[in-house]
Amino acid sequence: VTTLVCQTLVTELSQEIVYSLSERVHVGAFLPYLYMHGAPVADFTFSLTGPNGLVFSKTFTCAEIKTALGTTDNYAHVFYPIVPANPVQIESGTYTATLTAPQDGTYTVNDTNFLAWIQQHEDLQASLDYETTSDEENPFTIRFKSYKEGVL
Amino acid sequence: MTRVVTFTDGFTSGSAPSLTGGEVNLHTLSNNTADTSLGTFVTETEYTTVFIEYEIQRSVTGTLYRQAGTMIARFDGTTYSLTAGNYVGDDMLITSGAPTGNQVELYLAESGTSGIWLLFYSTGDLAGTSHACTVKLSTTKIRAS
Repeated sequence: VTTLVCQTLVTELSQEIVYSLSERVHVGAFLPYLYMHGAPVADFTFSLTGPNGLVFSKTFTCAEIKTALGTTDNYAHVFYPIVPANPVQIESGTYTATLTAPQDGTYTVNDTNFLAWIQQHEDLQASLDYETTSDEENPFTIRFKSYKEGVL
Repeated sequence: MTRVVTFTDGFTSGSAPSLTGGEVNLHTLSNNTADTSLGTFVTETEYTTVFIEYEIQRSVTGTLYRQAGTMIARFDGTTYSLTAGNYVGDDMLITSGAPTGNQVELYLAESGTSGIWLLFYSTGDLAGTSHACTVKLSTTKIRAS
């Protein structure tokens, strides 16, 4: 049994991320930890903004999540890889990862159809710079996959 | 809004996993002058009760009124009925029935999809900038057992 605490994407959800290493990294994929309930039909957007504005943005659908998982099931929790056409360069600074729902009427949140972003306290890549007092205060979970020089 | 999802196994499921816990939604309408949807969807088969806590501030021809209180929406098998609870502050600012005088109204209306209801806020008879309202609402939906 897996228990997930998540926030429903209604209009927008965002998570601030501080990248503190001095070396620049090339990110090959962003993987927000998503919960899909009912596979709503809509174009969602993942975007990353940095100290100088928008760094990367890409739309995705629940149909694409299902294809990536190789399933016809409409309910899933997944680190869904959002892959840039070219690696995104990240340097030291504060970034904001944002999930945005379309506001054109294609996405209606209800108890049978929604997309959510899962919150976790423990994460392989990130540490918190604040104390949480409840699960709801945990950050939205996201992982970056980066290219390393010399690694094939 | 927060959801707590329980998966029985694996990463995918062909049927809806369990959703548990109450759901809390916060809304703030600033200087609202028109009837407005508050965006809280309530599915009648899943939520029989919604607790509403509010704080309202209303300017009526230059005089400022404030009230804070509670309401409860309860599904009786056919429709949701709102019942006003306790309040503090100025009298008669918000109602669960037809508004009169300075009142504004809260009500639930079917969203267009059968069985799914949407919480609305109505400015009553006093719409317009001279009667602008600022309303803060917290709704807690309790999942039916």
